[in-house]
Amino acid sequence: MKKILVVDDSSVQRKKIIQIIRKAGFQNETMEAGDGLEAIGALGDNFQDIAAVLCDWNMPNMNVLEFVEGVAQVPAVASIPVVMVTTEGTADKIAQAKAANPNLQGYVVKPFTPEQLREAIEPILQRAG
Amino acid sequence: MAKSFDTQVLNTTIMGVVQDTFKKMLHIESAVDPVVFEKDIIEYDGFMRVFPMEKFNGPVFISYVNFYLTQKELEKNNTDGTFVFFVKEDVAEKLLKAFGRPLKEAEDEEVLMDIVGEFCNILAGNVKNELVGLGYADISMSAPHKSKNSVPDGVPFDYELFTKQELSFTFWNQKCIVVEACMGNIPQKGK
Repeated sequence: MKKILVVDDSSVQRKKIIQIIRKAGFQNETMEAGDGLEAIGALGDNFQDIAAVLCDWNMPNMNVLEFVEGVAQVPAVASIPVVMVTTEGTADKIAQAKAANPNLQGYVVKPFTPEQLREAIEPILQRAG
Repeated sequence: MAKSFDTQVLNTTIMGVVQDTFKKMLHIESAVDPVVFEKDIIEYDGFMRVFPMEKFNGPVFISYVNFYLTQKELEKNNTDGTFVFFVKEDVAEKLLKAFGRPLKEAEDEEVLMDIVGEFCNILAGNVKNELVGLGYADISMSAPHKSKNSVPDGVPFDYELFTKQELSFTFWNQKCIVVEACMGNIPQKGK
């Protein structure tokens, strides 16, 4: 079973997301990254095993649009679905993220309920098998 | 001189977002209206001084984010707005619940600082989203900065502003949350 990569600069937020994934019954292993640079490292080492990337927006060290755009441009990882989990909830920001990565498959605005996150990732994980 | 953002809109938006977020994440409502003051910005070496230990009787966690008119301005660090979130230490422990963390983690200062930072990120982001909903341009935001009891270097701000808003919130029957904010002009969409 493929892994879920959770990218957020807040470790408590990453743990909360992972807790929701577990409680929703998904058995996928999870990986964590604190910013886009760490996420690139995690993807590079595990790209064949990643089912989805859940990604915050406002993080240090790297513009998140550069990260999601970079994912879209590297053939080996371009097909990995990306779900944004962020406070950036305006139509403009959603459009920017979609333009940066056409494989953006979900958008969850903080604060979110467990149900909102589950609904965003369930179809992706079902397709990943 | 830079035109300041409408303080009434800013204060009303912050009040609404703080109340809504605490209701959604902690299922708590304040029975007391927030107290609002306009204060002079004290600047030193290009940064806004903040005085966390004057907010409460005891230790305090602080987190701040900055707003920028565009992503390019963010990259150049040309600040348009500042949102500083102060939380009394014993209340920071209560915020653990919002992230499903066990109370024993309250002993870990790094965890509490992380939680206060994430709350600040959520509050500031939703203030920004609300302003966009009111017709203002969508601005960019920094990642949260976090500390305890002091911010030695001060906080970046729009150097041409002279005043900031201070909003004090009462939850759990005590004044325990303070937001300081200042904002330069944000253009309205289509103007």
